Amino acid sequence: MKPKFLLGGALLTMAVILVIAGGFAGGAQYFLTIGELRAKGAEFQDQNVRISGAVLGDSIRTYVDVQTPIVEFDVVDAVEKDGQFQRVVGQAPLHIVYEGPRPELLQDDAQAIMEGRLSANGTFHADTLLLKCPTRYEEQFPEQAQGN
Amino acid sequence: MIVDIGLIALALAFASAAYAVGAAAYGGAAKRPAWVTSARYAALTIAPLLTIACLMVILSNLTENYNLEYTYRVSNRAQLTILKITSLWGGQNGSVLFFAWLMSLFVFALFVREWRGNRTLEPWVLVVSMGTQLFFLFLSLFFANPFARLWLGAGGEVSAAVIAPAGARPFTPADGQGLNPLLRHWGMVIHPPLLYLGFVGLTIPYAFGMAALLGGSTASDAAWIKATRRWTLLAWLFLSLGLLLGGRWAYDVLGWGGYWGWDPVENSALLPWLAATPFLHSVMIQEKRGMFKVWNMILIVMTFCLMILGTFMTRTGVISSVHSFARSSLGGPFLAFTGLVLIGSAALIVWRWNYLKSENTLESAWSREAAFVLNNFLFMTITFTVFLGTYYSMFSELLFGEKKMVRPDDFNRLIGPQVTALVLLMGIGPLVAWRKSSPQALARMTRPAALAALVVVAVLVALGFRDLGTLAGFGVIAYAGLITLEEIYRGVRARMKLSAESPFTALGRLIARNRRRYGGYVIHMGIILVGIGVIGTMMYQQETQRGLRPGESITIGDYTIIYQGSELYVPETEPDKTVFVGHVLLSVAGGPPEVMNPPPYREIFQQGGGLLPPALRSTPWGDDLYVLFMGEEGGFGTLKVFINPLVNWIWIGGFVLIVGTLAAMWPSGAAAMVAVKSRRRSLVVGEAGR
Repeated sequence: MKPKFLLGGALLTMAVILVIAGGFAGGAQYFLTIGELRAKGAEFQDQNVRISGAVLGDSIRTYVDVQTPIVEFDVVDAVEKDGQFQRVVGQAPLHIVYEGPRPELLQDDAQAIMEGRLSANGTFHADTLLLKCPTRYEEQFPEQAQGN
Repeated sequence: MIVDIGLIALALAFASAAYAVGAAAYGGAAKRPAWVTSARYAALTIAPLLTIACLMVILSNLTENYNLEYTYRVSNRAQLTILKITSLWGGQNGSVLFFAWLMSLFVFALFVREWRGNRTLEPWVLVVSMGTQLFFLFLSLFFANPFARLWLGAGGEVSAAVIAPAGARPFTPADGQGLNPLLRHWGMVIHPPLLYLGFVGLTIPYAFGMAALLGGSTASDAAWIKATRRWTLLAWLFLSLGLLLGGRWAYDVLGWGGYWGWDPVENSALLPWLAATPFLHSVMIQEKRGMFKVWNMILIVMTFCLMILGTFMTRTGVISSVHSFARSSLGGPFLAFTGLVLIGSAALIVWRWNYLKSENTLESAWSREAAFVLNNFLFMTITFTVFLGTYYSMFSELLFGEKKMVRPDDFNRLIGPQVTALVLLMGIGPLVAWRKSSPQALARMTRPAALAALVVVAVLVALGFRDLGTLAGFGVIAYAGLITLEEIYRGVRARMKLSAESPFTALGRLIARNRRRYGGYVIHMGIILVGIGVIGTMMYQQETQRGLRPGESITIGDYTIIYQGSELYVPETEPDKTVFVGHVLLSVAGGPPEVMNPPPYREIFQQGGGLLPPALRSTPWGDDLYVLFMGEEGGFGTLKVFINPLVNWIWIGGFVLIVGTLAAMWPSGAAAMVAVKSRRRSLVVGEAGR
């Protein structure tokens, strides 16, 4: 192959990589822990971000507002330890407001991923709410022994 | 007993594969055909052995043997018998075994008959295919063994192991955990096997490519490509089917109104398809013109690596995804194997560089060869885009220390124009002559289609569509679609004139006589139809949601949906699930309200999770009304409603694509039979006409 073609091809490839990477970088959404969101609250205020945390069961509250069901609950950060997610102790919870009926998986200790915005009063308005069971499906064995 | 038989069969299969690799490599290197034959026989034992192993897992599920860890995890007493069988691939350890079994079937089909191709290739095809098989058997045996049993230790702790821990006694829970609820839908029962078949099928062209390199001079001709064309098409067919069914399943049960969410696991199944498709195109240049030999090797290596990566992604939770049902310990071995494949393949290509010299050069920018270069280039940019977007969070964390995710909109925004360009090329490409053509000749040939496409765009503008992406998309679809139809029509007309055939006979025989070319055109038409649905749903989906008291209604477009109340029940066959039905009436354009049947409902599983199937109403032109019942809270039932314009063209196009692929890969014998039959009929028609 002629060097002219190789050079042209290399330049074209570089250009494509830059355009695509740039395109993604411009629109990509931050994925933050609650701690990180708090630390940089001002920077991320009213910007669409994705956060994750563990649900505090006692805080879940549902009601209907002008024909729209609303769910509110609190989350704190969770860290993975020995294959289990554990809440971070002593962290102030983040209050979440989500429009929609209560999902079945929304329960104490569920892992939640939320997309939305942090408002000025410190409440997080979630547009999307993804949930995982508190204990992962395949993870645990039965407790009571029943030998044979 | 069951467990022991399964475990022994699995271990024997592993030993067979290891022996086959060694014997074939020795036989090939030392030119000792007896060793190669011995390796081939060893390879042939793997499929029967793994069949036994798979049957033992199924038997364990059926006999409710919850002492087996795998049965305990994916099965329970309440489960339907069919699901006890299909849960063979419902969890990680079983699906690794299942994957290895499917691979062994392909290998069996490949080697069961006496080798009739190039003898130099045989030992090396054995080495590479058995090496891959060995890797999956290694995983199954040492990292994801489906035959691990549950044990109760002296301290009362439960563990899972193949060999009894010291002082432990067997432990059998009263019931199993049951199959992950999401996997109980029929779509989810057949979607993984199809994808897996596509994945394992790709091993064969890869094995032949590497065998051609290992054999030395065999790398310079296209024998390995000719020998694997049908295998590659078969794998491609299964991949396409797996992707289509995955989309349909998501649409039917996940309840988010769409069929493709650019989820990392979806993407990793799409990536091998995106690399295999240009491979299917670019091998034609090697066959016809002896060019692109290095490039074709690179493409098949890339396809294979993306396949391994895809398998890995579907089985591990490396990147957060709705599909990652469990995290696993398979990460290390998978990365090591991918690295080995990449480095080994690259070394082979460099080693055999001299055999991969091109026999011709590009003569003109207006030639079929150049069109294929552009096709490959666009496929590569799309593959790169999907790859980067999928692993973006990983790169961004490694390079910049911030975790950022790419959203579906960004994928659409970046990939949309690239796909539009590719569809345009798909229309023009087949018209360009080999070696040399001219822009004038092309313009002349496509003028009618271009004019028709302009009319389509003008009509859309007149109807009020202003979005440039939509106009360009539909314009290109009209242009490329009409060119393709015209090509098919030209062939049919020529046949009708020459041999006085009816249009349908002529079409059938045209495709049968030149299956590769016209099968390809039919596949292209399938893509065009899918494109119509993709633009419709991507650009013009409507959505609304509201809480309603019984009797109240919600309106979207021409549709008014009246909520009537909810109903809760537990199905007899699946006592661990609750069904929550929302009864609704539908009135179209002010017409009389009718009951939507089946109604929208949600299924909630005791173990957590559930499905959200919509009620659907399709229009003759392919739009869907998609009604979801989200639940009831404080007397308000919440309905979420989508209008998905033109969505059904995706499924129709998918069907056309499958028909085209079958036509392109159908063996010559059968095609000849069809041709004979239709000739008889046409004779009769001809006589009657006289």
